[in-house]
Amino acid sequence: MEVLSQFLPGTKIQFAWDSTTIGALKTCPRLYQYQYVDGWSPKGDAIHLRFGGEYHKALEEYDDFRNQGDNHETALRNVVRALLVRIADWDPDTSSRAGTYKNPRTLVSLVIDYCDKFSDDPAKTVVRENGEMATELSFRFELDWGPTYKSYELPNHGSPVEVDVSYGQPYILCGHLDRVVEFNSDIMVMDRKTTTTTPSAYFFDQFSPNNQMSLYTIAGQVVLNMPIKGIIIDAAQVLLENPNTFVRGFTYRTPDLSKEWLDDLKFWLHSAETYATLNYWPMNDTACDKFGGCRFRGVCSRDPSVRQRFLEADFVQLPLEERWNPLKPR
Amino acid sequence: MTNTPNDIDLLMSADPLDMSDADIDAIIAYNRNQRAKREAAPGGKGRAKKDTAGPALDLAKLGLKVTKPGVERRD
Repeated sequence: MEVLSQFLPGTKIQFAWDSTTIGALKTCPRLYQYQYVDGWSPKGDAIHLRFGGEYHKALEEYDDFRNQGDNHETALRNVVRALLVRIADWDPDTSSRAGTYKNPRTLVSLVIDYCDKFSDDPAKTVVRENGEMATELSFRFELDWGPTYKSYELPNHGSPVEVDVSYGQPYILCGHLDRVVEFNSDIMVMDRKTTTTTPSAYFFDQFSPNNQMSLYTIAGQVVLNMPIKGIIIDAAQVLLENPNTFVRGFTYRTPDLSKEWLDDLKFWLHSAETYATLNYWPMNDTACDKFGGCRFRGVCSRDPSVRQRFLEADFVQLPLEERWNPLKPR
Repeated sequence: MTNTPNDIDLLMSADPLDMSDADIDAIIAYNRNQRAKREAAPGGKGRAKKDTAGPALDLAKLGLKVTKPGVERRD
């Protein structure tokens, strides 16, 4: 199936955004350019994506089986079987740190542990108006504004006046909600995370304020037309010697906080338009050491004249159809 | 194909399309067994507790002293 490009035709102006690309733009425009405009991907980056994707898929299937009436043991057996089929060809490098923690064996173990722990989950999946369970909800909605270009109008008298003209394409916000649940009488989006670090209070602090969680709160309200209070972060810590750990944290968004996030987004996307129009994405050199160090730090630290060589050595430039595209269905 | 937990490596590497329900159940049982062992192990519910982390080093005996991290000037 051919997927529509997220960029306006013939430009690098992105009109369809998700939390990943907005987050990259906010972190560092150069990071956004390398990874999402030019499609550079670190070699070996696939392990985390595959592990996370399969984990999400397995738990989605578990939810489905249970919602269809299967008991825990039957649902789990079906989930593990399907998971083993999907990952039969997956052979990550287990000598790397990523592969040590994230491989077929640890994945199967994590899925079994999660399903056992939450076989009688106090968070209940919301039933939508159409009778379907609110799991794995892809969302896509338009904003009432979009990218513009500069033009000049000549009044009858006086100097030319600069005006913003719309391309006719509104911005689209896209993404994917793992599950929407009722918990303690509140409607919350549940977002699943896997981590190799301890999900302590420090871990959960990162979600308030947080770009992804603000977008997901708004998206839940738009998609379900329900008063979403915030997000439950359903964290799973992969451990090798100790039992896997599962901790849930909560982050709330008031209507005013959501409005502020959307107001701010106007400025961010306007900046993105400007960068794309000028074909220049500035470096935010205060972000290079965040989150354990930016993956492109080894490139940006080089003289501009040799950066291309370092990019080509440590990264692969993905073909267009394999690049991150918020419009690509899951 | 045998499906005892001792053969878990063999089982995990087998063609999943050929697996019986009993094979899948054996994998699940093996994982539950491993989890129970980890939980039963000392410090198994989390990281090693401070009192199991080994004897504290006497820095003074080693001729060392604790210094606070600070900004180092390189003039």
